[in-house]
Amino acid sequence: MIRVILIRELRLAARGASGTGLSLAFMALFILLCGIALGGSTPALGPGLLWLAATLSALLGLDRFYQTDQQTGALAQMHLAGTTGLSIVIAKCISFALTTLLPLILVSPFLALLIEMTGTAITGTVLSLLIGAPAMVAYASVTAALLAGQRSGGVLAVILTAPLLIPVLIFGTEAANAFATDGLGAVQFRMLAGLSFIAVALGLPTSVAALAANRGPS
Amino acid sequence: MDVRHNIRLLIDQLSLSRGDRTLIHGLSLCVEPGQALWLTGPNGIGKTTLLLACAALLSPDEGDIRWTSEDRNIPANQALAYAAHRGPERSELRLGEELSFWQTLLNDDMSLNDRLTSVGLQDRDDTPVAGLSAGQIRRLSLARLMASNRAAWLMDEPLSGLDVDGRALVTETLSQHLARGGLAIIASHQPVPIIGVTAKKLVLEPAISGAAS
Amino acid sequence: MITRFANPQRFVGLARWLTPIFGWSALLILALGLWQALFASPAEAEHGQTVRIMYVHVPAAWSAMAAYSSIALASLISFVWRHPIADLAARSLAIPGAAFTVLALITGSLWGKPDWGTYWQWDGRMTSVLILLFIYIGYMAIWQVVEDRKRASRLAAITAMIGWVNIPIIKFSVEWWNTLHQPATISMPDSPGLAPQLLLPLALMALGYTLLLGWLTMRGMLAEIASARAARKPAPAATARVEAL
Repeated sequence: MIRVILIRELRLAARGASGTGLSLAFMALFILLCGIALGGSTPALGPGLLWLAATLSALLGLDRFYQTDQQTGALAQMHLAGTTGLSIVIAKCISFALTTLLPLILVSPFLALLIEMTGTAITGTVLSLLIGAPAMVAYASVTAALLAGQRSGGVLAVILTAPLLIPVLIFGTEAANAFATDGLGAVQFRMLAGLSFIAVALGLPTSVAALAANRGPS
Repeated sequence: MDVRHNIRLLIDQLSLSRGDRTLIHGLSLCVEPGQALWLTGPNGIGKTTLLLACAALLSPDEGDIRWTSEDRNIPANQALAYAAHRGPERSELRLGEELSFWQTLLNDDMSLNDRLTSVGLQDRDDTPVAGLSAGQIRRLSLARLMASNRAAWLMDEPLSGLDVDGRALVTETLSQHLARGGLAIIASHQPVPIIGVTAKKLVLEPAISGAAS
Repeated sequence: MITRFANPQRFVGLARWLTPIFGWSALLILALGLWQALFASPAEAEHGQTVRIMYVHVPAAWSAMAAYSSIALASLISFVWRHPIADLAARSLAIPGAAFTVLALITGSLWGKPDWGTYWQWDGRMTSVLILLFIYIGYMAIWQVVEDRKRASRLAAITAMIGWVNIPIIKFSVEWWNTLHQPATISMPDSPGLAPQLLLPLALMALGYTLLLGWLTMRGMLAEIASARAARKPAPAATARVEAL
């Protein structure tokens, strides 16, 4: 079932339903604004800025996570068709990772050039983003599931997700910084992987519960 | 296990509300295999709410709704298929993609083409959902019901937007479903002509204000 | 205990009786505690007179955390057993809890100015309290935006629980991050190491805050029950009649 839902999701994303382009544009704009506001090249702040940009851009696309399928009744119909909540959540999470987060991570090396980051710093940041991605997806899913019945939850989505993402942000940027000296074996990377693991373990069942609470008419 | 021939609906002392409005109070009834229940009444009286509750998408304030087969409870999401007034389809998809997605989820063993043909939508699988008419969307909805192989069909205004052929299609499909021992609950303003089966009519009327206060 | 007070009627009986006791004893103990804190207790060696801010600040931070933990526990009970009173308790704890969080932040920064020379330090504890405030805001916002009462209660409970599970992780991360970026010279006095004459006002204030929290929450719950009664559902809008066709 996961595969069938995922294929549908990817097809919808290919037709522009997931707003990948907008998230990418926002991320580029964010880095541009940071460069201007902070006075041009800011290589030392690079990993932090890229992490912030990726997180905020991903959260902006949260409306599309469950909301449309909630409003058309598709989520209820999938439930009635006997699909388990967990399958729906896993399929949606993989789709969000592939269509929203991964493109953001893939463009980050190019945006890093705007703020004159070095090659090692860029590699470290991209690796840290990849290892932290499961945590970002899991908490994004929780918030999106909580707000699935709302017409628009933009700012609230950020307020709900950001506190949960603070540890990921901390260890993500620290891992990116530690990469130059300690490589992938740095303790920060292991902590980040641990956070991703915890987030997935907590986030999946929580999303299922939130979707179940939102089931039915809104 | 095939439950389609002996599933029944038992509603006992049911009270339902939407927001802070109580719509239905103390309703008890039973729908047997092969029987249709036609819900009728003015807009906003609670027909859709009752359907949602039967589909277990809305929890009752009091009382309960049970789907049973040989005295065993069947979970709503194994007992029924629900054709809502507004469908779950996404405008970005094509008709074929949309229907085959639900066919896969529902384990339908009929091919996409046969399924489309059975509701008069043959050769339309490349049409974008956004380009379908209201009547064609109803047909798609009917196709999903048929694909479900479920014993109970819940239908919200199944005739709206349909042409003469479309109505005949709904009538015929529904009659076959009931003749096979299926069950249907139909919320509709217009009578749904079903041939050769027993049917009940549940009329929801506005309560007299004196009694309500 | 859990099932005994599932009935709002029985709860109202108990709460009507307990609420004034909480209220008056909070007033009395807070007055006593403040007198001890501001006048009767001596100034402390390291911090001088500014230690008096601690008596207002530290119990506020404790109460803020205790209130959130209570929300999480009540949410768990509400989520698992659909217990209406636990649900009311969680909801009514939010505003006083958030108020204590704000109080802890304000008094913390007022204490920071003379002690640290700045209103804000990215100290692990202060930062965690600030994050707690945002968790409170998110929780209260869920109650605000979700219209359907039953659904709001489920979603708010989920929000409270996932926030609570994350608090230790957040606190650990922030403290770890803080040791990396801040010189370790600054630290708040640890309460267990305090002299006994400082401990008495601290204990009194902590008890007073707890009673105050209890009083505010009970009042909130009673008000909620009263407004739910006032908005009692009208008689059904429809009568149903079954006919054979």
